[in-house]
Amino acid sequence: MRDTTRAELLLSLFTSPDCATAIVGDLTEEAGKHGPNWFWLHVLGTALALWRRNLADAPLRVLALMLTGCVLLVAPTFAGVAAIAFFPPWNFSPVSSIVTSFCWWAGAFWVGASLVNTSPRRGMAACATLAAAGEVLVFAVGVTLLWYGELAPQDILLFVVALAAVVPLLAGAALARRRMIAWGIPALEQHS
Amino acid sequence: MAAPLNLGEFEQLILLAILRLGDDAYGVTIRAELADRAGRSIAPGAMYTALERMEAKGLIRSRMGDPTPQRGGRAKRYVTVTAAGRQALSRAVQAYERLLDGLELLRDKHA
Repeated sequence: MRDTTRAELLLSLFTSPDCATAIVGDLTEEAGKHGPNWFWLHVLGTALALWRRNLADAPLRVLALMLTGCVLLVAPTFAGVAAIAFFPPWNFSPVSSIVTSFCWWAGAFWVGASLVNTSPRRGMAACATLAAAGEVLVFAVGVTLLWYGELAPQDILLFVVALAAVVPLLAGAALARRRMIAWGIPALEQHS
Repeated sequence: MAAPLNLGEFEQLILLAILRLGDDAYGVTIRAELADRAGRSIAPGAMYTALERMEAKGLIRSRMGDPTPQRGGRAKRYVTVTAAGRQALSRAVQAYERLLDGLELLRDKHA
């Protein structure tokens, strides 16, 4: 028997726990005819559809949350840059990389958790959208600078750290959401 | 007084499938009913988001059933059509009937 608990955890990020349970139950029932690839394909498809629905239902609310997330990310971003700029001897040393990574990733984790705590129903969709938009933006800026030869080899590490910040951002949001489900916060119910 | 709910074609099909299935309407059976009777292969994601949207609009209501072993111990989420859902469906059917009235569109079919 495949491990369907992870599928349920994924779907419960975007819908109520009861709905996630029922959807995974339905897909498990049908997967007997179609196989595990069909199961996971439709788990991912359903998660994307639920994410899209959260965006379409309250686009301004999600946009406001994303802007809040950007504002909250400013402090840890500058802290990470300051960690390099204020200590020239550390420039491009492993210490500066570790400090920068810590500031950016811890900040991203905190922002993810804060957005979900602010809006239990839309916070996860806002985080996922912010993560996707951030990845595209950082990647585009990095590739453009690289294309025009403006990116020093040692700066590439900074872009990699920035691209990887999406992981703690989503992890913070997912853990906050899981904690709310464990506590049974009613605001998570989609129809309440 | 609240404005009457207007239904899209997909919502009409889902409501009709739920009404046909009666007490056994849940995700798997609704998809099967739509495939069998309407010839529509619906992606699960599209159907679950539609069900959530329709429940939020008050067209259907849901209740959790008992867990079953063939579903990995997970419960079914049964849905039923509310009075508002029946009214909206009835209005949609009446609109179709008024628009079809006098048209020769279906004459060959009924001949």
